[in-house]
Amino acid sequence: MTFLARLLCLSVLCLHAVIGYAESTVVVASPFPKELLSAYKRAFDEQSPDFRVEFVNFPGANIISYLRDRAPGSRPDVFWASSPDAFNGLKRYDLLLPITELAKPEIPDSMGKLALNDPAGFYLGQALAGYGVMWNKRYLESRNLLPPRTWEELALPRYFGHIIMSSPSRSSTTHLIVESILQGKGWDDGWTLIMKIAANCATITERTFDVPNSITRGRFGLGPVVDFLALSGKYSGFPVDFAYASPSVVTPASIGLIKGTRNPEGAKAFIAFTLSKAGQRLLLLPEIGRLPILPSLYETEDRPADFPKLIDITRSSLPNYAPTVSESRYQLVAALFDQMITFRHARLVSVSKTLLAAERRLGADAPREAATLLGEARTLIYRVPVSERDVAQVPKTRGTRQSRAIAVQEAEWARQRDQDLRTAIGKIERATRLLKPTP
Amino acid sequence: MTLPATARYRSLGAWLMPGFLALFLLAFFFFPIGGMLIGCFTNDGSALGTTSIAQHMGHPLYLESLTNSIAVALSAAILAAGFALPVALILWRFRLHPPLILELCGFLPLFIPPFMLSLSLQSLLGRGGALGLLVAPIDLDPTLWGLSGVILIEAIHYFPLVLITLLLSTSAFARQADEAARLGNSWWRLTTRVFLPLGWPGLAFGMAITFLKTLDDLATPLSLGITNLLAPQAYFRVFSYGSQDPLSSLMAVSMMVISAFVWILSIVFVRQGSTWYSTTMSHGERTDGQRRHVAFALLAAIVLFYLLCYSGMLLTSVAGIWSHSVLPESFTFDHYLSALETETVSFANTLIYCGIAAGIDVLIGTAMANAIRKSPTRWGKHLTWLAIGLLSVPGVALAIAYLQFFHGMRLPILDLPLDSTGFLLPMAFAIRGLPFALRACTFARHSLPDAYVEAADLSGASRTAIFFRIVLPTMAFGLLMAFVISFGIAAVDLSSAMLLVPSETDAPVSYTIYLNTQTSTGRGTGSALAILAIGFISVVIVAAVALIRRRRRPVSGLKRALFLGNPIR
Repeated sequence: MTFLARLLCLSVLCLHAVIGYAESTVVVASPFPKELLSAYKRAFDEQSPDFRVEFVNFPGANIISYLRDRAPGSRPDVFWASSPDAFNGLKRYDLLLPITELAKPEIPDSMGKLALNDPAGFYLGQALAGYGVMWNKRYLESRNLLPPRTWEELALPRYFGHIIMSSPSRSSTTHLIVESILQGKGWDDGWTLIMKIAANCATITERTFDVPNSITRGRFGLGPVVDFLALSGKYSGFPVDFAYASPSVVTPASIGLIKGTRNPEGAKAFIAFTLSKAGQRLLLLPEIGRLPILPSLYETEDRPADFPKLIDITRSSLPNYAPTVSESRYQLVAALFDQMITFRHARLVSVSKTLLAAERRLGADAPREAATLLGEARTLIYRVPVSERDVAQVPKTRGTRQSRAIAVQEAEWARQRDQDLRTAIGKIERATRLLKPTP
Repeated sequence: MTLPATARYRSLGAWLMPGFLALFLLAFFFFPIGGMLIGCFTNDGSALGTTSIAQHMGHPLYLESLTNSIAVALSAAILAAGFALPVALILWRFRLHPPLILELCGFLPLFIPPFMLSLSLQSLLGRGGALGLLVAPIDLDPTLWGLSGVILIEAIHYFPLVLITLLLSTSAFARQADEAARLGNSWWRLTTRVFLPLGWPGLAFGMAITFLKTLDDLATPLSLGITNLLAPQAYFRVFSYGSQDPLSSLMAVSMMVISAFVWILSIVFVRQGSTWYSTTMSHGERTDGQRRHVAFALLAAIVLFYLLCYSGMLLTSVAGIWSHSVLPESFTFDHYLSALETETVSFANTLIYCGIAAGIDVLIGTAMANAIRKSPTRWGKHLTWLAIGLLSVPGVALAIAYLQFFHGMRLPILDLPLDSTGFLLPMAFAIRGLPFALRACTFARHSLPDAYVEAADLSGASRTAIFFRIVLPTMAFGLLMAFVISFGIAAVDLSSAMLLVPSETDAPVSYTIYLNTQTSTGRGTGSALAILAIGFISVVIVAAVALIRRRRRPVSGLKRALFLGNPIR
């Protein structure tokens, strides 16, 4: 009997410990790399006796569906990510709590045209993020390639097979880059450019980090990334470099308190820590390489050499990027990209290759019909079969019904895409036959 | 008639374990899987029907993934068998049984996730360094191989397993075959008449495991950027649209149906091969020197090949700066330090999750083994097939079924949502490891003669005494083996882990390796962790060898524990 009683006591004690543990833990959902999260975990756990932080690695692109899927009380406490669209969505679906009281007076509400904090105080800017192209210097030198300066240059045939990028359905960074191209160049031209870049890609990776990883390693030459992923590689001594590409967009990486948090006190303590001077200084660590939002840090002595200047960063912002537009079609753009590009990538690459080969043979004296056929094939390969208006009309219900609707829509897109590629191949073949007599 | 108190107590005890067993299987297998099946056959208006499923079946991507998945898994199994058959034939022909330690290494593919090979080959053959840069104009990067990359990597990974199952099932008549050959029978005749029929069960088993594991593999295709397979598609959809997405359920169900079909097919083959002959050949049996050397050279070549394959990972784990150069510019042990410093928690998690899963497996496995032993033959058979059938449930499918079924449920007292705790992970692991554990437990139960227990009972020993003095010591080795096997299988089960892991700090080591190889500044820490994990497994293997040697009943026990198709009775 005493044994049973002891066992009972022990289990009650254990249970108590577990409950206490659950109360002191702050769960932060974030797509940021492990280096950054571990640095913050170490620093925060050290300076705060009452709370400890844990991270859920979460592609920012999926946070809204994840949170809507869960009842309050079963959600993470804090969301921390670069994607303004995700924060807009969270706010629209009423998934955030206001944290105006945590805003620091040293951090301005806006820099130039760029608003750093949410006007209603639902999320606060924590760092700055710009987007551009990262490249491996040795890889490009060994192949006599020059680094590109604009997104258009990435679509040039000379980069064929040397680019690596991720998919917007898995990576909120890529989503932002895709969306900024779509908004900067318009729906149809934007998609054409994106598809041309994708056709130049060696592979579409599953996670954001595989892009900088493969480039630092020199497996692939270049790719679109968010600045800090490139800078951390550069400051760690790898032969890589980075340039903001135009049209570019600078966004604040933000942090917000999730509605339905189990631990609001701890969550607020963590948010306050990330905005404090100590929290901001962590961003300058070489293995992190992020741009702090605290202006005074851009003047400190211990920042890495050739650290970007604040004025350069804010200047490169796309004048009319609208996060609301992006947020309204967030899942659809990602689904469209996957159906058009990710899941058809091998075919897209091989068709592009054939097209390029045929176009190279197209001399000045080539038959006019061949040129027309190739032109038509080019349009078919790089066009998106849906108009901007059609995408806006896909019903926005919730849950299973919505995913059913999207699945049906996707099947249509996929069929159309296959049809387009088949027709394009037919046209290229006809054109090649016409070209044959001329050597 | 009323039973005396002790008998009542005993009958209560006798019902307790089966009750627990039934409850566990209902809650963590039948209900979730059944729920998913019903969900699949539900139309929009929540009425049963096939309109919705028919609609999704026409999805071009679904059809493509389905055919790709079957093609890839089948090709990997055939390719692995193609590699293994000639090697096994040569070893059989030369009557060389690999040393015990190599034989145990043959089971390593079950305990190491195949994506490690993929990552290692990417470092080794990619454009960024090592061999890939040496042969520069030729592009060997595995990412560019497409589906054939997955096939090749899975085949290389599972080749040792197929080889060892083949060797175990053919080893019986090697000496007789040799003597027959001396008497003038041609080797071709012996191969077709003796070697192949003997090898069928082993081959079928090895190929079935390769097929099932390839079909279920999530991390390898993802690491190669391949998405048009069922497992990655289902995984993507769950993350984009939540666990209730109908298309991902359909994909999960399809995977289950294919697996079950292949599993039944392989069982037919295994059973056609009738019984397993117990090994008559002892280790290191003498054959003539010349032939021994050839066979040993072959084994050495295979070991070297695998060392080369994994050298990419080993180099990455000690590389400082390694970027577009044949060898790293600098070497460092920092990755190991940071792996030990920041990722020890993942080792602890692995111990907790897989330990719980293995514990459950041993408990349930023993209960089942006991029930099988005591029940009429027919029922025992059904129970065995039921447990073995669990093997055909892919991890991805099980995880999706869990996410759907336990959606919105909360843990009592703690008031935490079930799917945000690590609770579901050991349960999934336990279900996945149960068929293997059951074999080992049956073996353990077998080593306990009923007469001993009855004799002790009659002479008045208490149940506790019987348990601690007779049952536990005789069964200990088998149970330990069940625990280790179940633990190892759980530790590499990335397919369910990737979907069920609640947070990064709660991830078991295989998933942490996967995450760590995806940081922005190289794969150093992930590779270091992988090497540490492989080192740990090696230590376990060496310990197992020592233990088995001491017991002097080497192969038969291991063999009987691992071959699932052949019920031990």
